[in-house]
Amino acid sequence: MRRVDVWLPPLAFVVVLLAALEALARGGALTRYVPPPSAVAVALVNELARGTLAADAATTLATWAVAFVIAVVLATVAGMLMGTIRLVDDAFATLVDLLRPVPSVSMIPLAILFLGLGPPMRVVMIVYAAFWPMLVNTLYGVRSVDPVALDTARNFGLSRADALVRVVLPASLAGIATGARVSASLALAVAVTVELVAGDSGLGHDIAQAEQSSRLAPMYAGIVLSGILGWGINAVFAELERRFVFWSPASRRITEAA
Amino acid sequence: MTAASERDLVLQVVDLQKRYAGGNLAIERISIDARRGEFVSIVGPSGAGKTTLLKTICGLLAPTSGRVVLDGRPVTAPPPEMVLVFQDYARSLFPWLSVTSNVAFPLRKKRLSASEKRRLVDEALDAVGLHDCASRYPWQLSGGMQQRVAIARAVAFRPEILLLDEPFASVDALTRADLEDLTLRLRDEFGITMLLVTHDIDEAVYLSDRVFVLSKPPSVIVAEIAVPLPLPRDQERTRSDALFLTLRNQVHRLIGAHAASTEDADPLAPERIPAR
Amino acid sequence: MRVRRLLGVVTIVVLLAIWEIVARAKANIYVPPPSQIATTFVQQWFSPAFGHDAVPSLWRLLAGYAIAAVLGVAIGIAIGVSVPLYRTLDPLLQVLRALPPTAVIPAGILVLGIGDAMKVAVIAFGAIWPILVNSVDGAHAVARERLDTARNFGLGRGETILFVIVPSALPQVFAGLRIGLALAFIMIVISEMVGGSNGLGYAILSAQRTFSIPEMYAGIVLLAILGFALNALFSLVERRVLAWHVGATEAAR
Repeated sequence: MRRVDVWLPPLAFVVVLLAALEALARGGALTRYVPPPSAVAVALVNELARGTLAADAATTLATWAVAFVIAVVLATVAGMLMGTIRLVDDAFATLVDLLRPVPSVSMIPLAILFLGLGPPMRVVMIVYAAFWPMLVNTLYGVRSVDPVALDTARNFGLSRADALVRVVLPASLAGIATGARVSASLALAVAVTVELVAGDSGLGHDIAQAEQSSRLAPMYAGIVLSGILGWGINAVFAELERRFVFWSPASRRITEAA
Repeated sequence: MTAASERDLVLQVVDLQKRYAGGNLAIERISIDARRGEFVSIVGPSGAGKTTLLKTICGLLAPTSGRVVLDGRPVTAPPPEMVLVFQDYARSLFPWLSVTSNVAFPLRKKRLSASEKRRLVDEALDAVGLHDCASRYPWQLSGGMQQRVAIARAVAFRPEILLLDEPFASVDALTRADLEDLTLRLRDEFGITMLLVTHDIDEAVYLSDRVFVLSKPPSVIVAEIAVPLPLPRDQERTRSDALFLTLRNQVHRLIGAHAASTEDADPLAPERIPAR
Repeated sequence: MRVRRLLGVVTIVVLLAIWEIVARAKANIYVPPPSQIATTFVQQWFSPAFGHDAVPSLWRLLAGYAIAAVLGVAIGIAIGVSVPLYRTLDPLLQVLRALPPTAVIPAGILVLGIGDAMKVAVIAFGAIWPILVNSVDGAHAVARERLDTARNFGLGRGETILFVIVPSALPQVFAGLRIGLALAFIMIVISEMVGGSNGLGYAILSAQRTFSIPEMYAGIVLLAILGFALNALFSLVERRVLAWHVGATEAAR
């Protein structure tokens, strides 16, 4: 199929959709709380130019990045330990099964209690939320390692720790890559969410503030920007995942989110 | 038993050409035919576009040019008289249905009473020897048994002609021998014409009344070989018959010669090797 | 297996015991001992408060999820089986799916107020994307051989969709439904925290604000139980409906 045949229909559809929204909003068919897309676009550009929106988005991304790295490290270590040492797995499997289905956001008031409203609270919340899908997928990756490969390594005299790093880790990269993708997207969603509920800075906080003062266009601009960030992060990690899971189609949609 | 040459033509493929979606020519020009009750094999090297050929004959794909004629009528859509049995049985059977339900599936379109349908299903299952597995699920069965389910499903539909796409390639040798004999039995019992595509030369010669040799893409028929081996075929006796060895070596040479280059083959005049 | 579960339970009991001992020793208002949380839990939730907070949360969750499930599966399968629809809409779905769903809650509040309608709408909006996207994928990726078989046996388009594509797609549809459930949960909690006057999310947050700490913990525990229970219920249903799939994937391994 020609390249243009791939992106033209979806692009055309989006253009038509936006045009329809524009017409409906201007014509007053939509509630007055939904401005035309053009107004949102203008507001987005303005707010970014003014700098505050960009600064807040940067804050959000910063908390996201710090928390994501922590969550990945913790979950990868935990996953490898649980996946390779029977005793650890037995001890903690039940706990994981109990805590996993609990919506992580219900812990927000708890986090506020201990840490207040600033970035540290948000980082902790994001780490807590992003930990679970990363753990689950890492476990999946570790468990898919061929035991023969591991036995061979041990046979050649590799210590347990060495075997973990040199055999198990590379072989479970597929699961880790998938976990990273799911976790990264979830981490951003939680970052924005926590700022929304009880933040003093960040993109989510911006959106909530705009809503409270009924500044429609900036609010929608913030929402659109969070969407762009979400899409960008997902695209980057999906591409990374594809590199590591090259033998199967990027199962971008199959694995659990939370 | 009527000699093959005296039976009427059930299938005619005339000057068939098929181009892949990407533009490459899969089939340059193929003309074959099959007579009622005949067992015809098409044998060729891997990648010779054999699946494409069968799907085009079956009406699942449209030819780029040329035509397929079944019982005197042109084939434009998959006709009920023709059923294709796929190589990958796991992907063609329905895992959410039991063996019986899988075999009964094609009958939903036929206006038959429930007892009639049950009879067809039972006969088909008996014919392939899976009567005891009726309520199991396909994935609970071995590869050979799954392929039997696929064949039973085709047989229950009572087609005139069965197209088999390398049906025994994914099973072990012992199972393959059983399945080969099964298809011969089905041909005799139900009078179904068989068109088998395979890369296994011995299998082709063992089973067939006639063998067509296919070249690599863009594919043409390199030769048409009559196989006058005595019936009924027997795995031991037939395969040690001197004529069997001669024929299979002939086919082997033809494939080898034409796997290398297809320019030598004149598509208009395939070697026709008559029965001796 | 038994021993394994036992060790897991023992770990949890040990952790709780440590918490209890430490909390009693160093009385910190922010970390009440589990025993206190337990008694508060019984007091609070075996009372009218359950009807006041837990029930509304539950029914909003279920209503929003039901809407998302029905629409998501139906539309998803419709898009998945149609090649032109898939080509046109799938890229857009991929983009929309990446939007943090809670970000639209403020817009929802402006458009729909802070009542039940907003919450149900917002829950449906959050939950529908994974359901939709997975249904599209499931319907789109049916094995070629199955579709050819259906055509070979003369099945029409509608019959093929109903009897071949839908069953084939069901495992992935369920994967999407499970993710959707998790998202629905998140949306109900947040929507009640941000714009609510009752409900579990609201109750937990207001307990924190009024420093009713044990009540806050009790609320979180109730949410945890509900989350666990709904998930378990989902697994039960999934195991029934997809019994064949479990067997088939095991066999393929």
